[in-house]
Amino acid sequence: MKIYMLFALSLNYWKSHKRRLLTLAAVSIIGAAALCMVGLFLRSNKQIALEKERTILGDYDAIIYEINEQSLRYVSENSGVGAYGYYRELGYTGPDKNAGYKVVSFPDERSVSMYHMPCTKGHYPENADEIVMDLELVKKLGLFPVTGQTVSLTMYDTGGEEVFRKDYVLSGIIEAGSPITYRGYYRYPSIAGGYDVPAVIVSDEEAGRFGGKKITVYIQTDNDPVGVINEIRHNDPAEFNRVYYSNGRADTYFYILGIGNHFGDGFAINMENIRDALQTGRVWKDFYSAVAVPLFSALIFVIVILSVVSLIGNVLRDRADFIAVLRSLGMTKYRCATYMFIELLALFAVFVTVGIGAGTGLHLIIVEVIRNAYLPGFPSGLDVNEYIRAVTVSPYANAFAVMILSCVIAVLIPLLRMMRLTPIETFDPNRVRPGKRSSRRHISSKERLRKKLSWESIVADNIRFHDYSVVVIVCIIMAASFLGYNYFRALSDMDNNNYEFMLRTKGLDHWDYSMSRSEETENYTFVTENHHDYGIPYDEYVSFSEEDFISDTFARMVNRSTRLAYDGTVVLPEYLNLRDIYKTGDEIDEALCEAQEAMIQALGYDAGENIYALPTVGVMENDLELLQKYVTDGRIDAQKLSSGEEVLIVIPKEMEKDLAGIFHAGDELPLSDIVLSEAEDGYDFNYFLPDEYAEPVFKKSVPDQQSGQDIEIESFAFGRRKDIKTRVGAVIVLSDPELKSRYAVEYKSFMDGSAYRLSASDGGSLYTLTALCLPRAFISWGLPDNKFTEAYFKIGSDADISAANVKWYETFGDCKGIKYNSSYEIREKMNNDIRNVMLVCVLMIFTLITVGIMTAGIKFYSKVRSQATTIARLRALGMPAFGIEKIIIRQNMVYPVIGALFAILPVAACQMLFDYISKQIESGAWDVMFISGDVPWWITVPYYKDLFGYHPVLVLGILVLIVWLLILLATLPQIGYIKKQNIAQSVDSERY
Amino acid sequence: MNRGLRNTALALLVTALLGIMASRVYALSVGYNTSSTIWKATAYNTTTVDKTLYTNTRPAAGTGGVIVEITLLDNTEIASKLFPYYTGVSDLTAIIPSHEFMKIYVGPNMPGQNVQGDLHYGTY
Repeated sequence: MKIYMLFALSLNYWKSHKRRLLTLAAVSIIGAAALCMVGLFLRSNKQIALEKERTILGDYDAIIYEINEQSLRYVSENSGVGAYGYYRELGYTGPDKNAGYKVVSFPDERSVSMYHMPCTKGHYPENADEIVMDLELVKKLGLFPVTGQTVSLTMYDTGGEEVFRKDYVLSGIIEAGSPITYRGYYRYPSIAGGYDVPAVIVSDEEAGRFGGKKITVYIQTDNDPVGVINEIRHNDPAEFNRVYYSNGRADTYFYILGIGNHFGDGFAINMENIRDALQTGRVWKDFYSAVAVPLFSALIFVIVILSVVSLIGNVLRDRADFIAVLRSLGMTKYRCATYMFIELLALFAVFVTVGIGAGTGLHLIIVEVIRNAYLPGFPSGLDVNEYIRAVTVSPYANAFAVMILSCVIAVLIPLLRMMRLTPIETFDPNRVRPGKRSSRRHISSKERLRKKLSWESIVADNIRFHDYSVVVIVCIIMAASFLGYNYFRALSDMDNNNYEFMLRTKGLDHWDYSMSRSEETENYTFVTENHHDYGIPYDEYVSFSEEDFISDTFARMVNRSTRLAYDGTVVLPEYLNLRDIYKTGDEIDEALCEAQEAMIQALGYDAGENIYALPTVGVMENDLELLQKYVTDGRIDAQKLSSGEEVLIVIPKEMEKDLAGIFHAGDELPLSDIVLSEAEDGYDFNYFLPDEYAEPVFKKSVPDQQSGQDIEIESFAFGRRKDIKTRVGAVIVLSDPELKSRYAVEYKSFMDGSAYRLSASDGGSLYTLTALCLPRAFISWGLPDNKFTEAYFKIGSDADISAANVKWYETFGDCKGIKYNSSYEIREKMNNDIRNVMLVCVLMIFTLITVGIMTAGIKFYSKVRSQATTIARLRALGMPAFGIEKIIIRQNMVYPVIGALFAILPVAACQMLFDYISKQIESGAWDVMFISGDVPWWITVPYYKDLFGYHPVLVLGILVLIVWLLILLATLPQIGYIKKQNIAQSVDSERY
Repeated sequence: MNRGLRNTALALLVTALLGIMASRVYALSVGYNTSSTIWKATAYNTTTVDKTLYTNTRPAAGTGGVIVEITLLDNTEIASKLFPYYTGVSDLTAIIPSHEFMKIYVGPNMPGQNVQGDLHYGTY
């Protein structure tokens, strides 16, 4: 009965004070919604990282390539296999018969999901007329990378025979690699003989048309994958050897769980240890969950307390007489406090729950907007797996805990204060507590005479509208917003490091398009270059460079395998020596040295010849003009360079001293190359097993000292020496990095770094001694080099990018063995990533400002109501309402300016920390080139970025404008109150 | 012998000695003994310029050779090479961008084989 009565009284109060209830609800709901939404978006971002890892590695632990479909049953029957999927090896397609783009089909959704190569655009084929292609193939066919277009393709079986030709609708595009990945594909396996990674996907209905019988199976297992595969192999009578233990799932979760930040503690990356880490909690949250969310939660906590304290104070003052009556009737202050506490806590619990629901709803709405705007696959933070839950803050628990805790504290402070009073004291809420000084400023009579008496000065002397807690709140939200924006920008720039690297290495920091011969053309030993069918044909390059929209271009042909063979009279620096195995006294090293010598002589060189690397670069004639002023000896004769009669010797500045006096204009050059047969030119030198192709030129058994067993040392020779008749036309010394990148060859690209490394001040010379000629010279010399290995283009600022894209793909679509790079594609990816990071930042800033300004509004309203009697008296004496409003607005507008000035401080402090870290690294005090053990905390901080480099004045200006606008809105209740004030009632009233 | 010839001979000798000693100049070395692919080293480029990370190994035990892989922190494979058993092979290199991590993995070429050896690596 008593409880029912108290409940009815509470209900009655809130019914008659709806505005207060709404204000309380608004603060709680917005605070809870903010925390919940931020937590959910962080989970979305983590899910994006997880999906990216799965795309890089695959959602499986081991993969068995090209086995018979009959072997599938041994996989499915094996108890160690947790789950499996497979695709059918159908055949090939491409611009021509030898294009080599593998075509596969997936039999079911589980196989698609486990293989995990999602479409970046569109979807997997849903019928026999649809097809999915890798982005590289789309470009190679000269198509613009959009779905919905018709593609005409010739399909070949696995033996290379044409099967059929058909028009397909491009339903989806995948990106099975990136410009910097090894061999161009994320999942290129490290197995002998290599493997063609799937690049084209058709529906399973089409599979029958190819006649292929092989499949590739991938498995998930929580046991040791090697043991499971061995067991399958043991049971299956058919042999299969092409197995790759990708460890995809373990590597993925290892990365997501942050265990990689604590490398060095003996953690073996397998599913068993991953699960163990999950159960024991040995996982680490990233910056967002470990720092950003707690910081944000703390700010919301403080702001909510500040706003709710004064609200609750008002509520308690309203009900002071009610509480006084209860206490007078004998209710103890503890029971009274408990009743009020439970009532208010129940209200907050309801509002916070509603807020969490609102936050979830808003999250889903924003996710839909993002999916429609720029990222179709953007994941929701609601449905995430245990690994993401382990390393992210729980949005619901965090929001509930922070809000309830802040509300509890905000309720307790005024409640305990009130409960200290006696019932009689409680009846008089306006009493000034002993010891509290009057807020009225004392003005001397002299000052009064000196001052010009105006209503404004009278108001200012009698009323204080300032609330210092509002100053604190505005400073906090502006400082947090300014620091948050700059820090998140720096963080997103740091995350885009790889894209910046792609732009740099592909020359796209200056050019808009670049093409280069793909990395499949790795040298064989002794710098033997092959695949001369790869590259950009001369005529196509010239034709495209003459298009109107091209404003600048550069191309070169690089032959890394040309070399100088001196008979001992001329000695070049040892780091140019192509003999890279030295005798050390060890018997095995001696044998290796002999093997290398046998190979060198089998190629056509003598034992007494010193062989030094001299790669050759062919450039267009008009690109030679830039070199005129760097000639130190001789002259540039384009005709002789074109005929091959002469070459230019390009010396990087850092090698000048070592090569002084060796080359002179007119000197005959003992230049030669290793020329391969047509068959050898087509070999894939990666994971090359030479004994499958030729007999060794050297073979020797050497005993191993440690094991006592005999080791077989062999060497093979591919190709034959071809001498080139030429002489030095001019000597050029280059120091400019841009010029060296055009006219010299990177040292490590031909030497593989095995020889002695230059100890220049920057750690080593990047470029090496190079011979320069015109492209026709290679033909004159009888060499097979006839295609550009690199080409770059810049389009005009007013050019139509879409048209340029289409023309580019059309012109170079037939080229073999080259990779295309466009700065637009890379920058689009960068912008997407920046948007994802800044989305969380903007959400945090927006919600923080909203909660903060709402708090400020509550404070403003409370302030004006607490001085209602004084205001009414002044107005009764003739003070115009507009005068008071003007004072209020003017005072409130000062807060954002103070906040803006204050906001610079934390950014400056953070920048000082960054500078300190940079200084420690530069001085060598923190030397972490190689890390063992925990990754230092500062490595995940964007210390090398400039926090004041993101348009600080503009950002601060916008922030001030936003806060001004919102403060103006928050001031409206104050002004509304003054306008509606009943002066007579306020003057007579002793309570408010 | 005259002074010029003596100096030339001395220079050649020093060059040859330097060549022998410096042909295997690596910053760091770590041993491995494993039957599966393991993560052995992490490099972080603290400078403002791109550097080259190089690594080499000559397996001392186990058949089939050793695969060394270099990846980014997010497991994107940048470079990979087979180092056959007891044969000298040139370095595996990769450009390590400014302010970027690279990881070096070592594992047997033939799954299940136990391989041992020293992994040498450095940057320039």
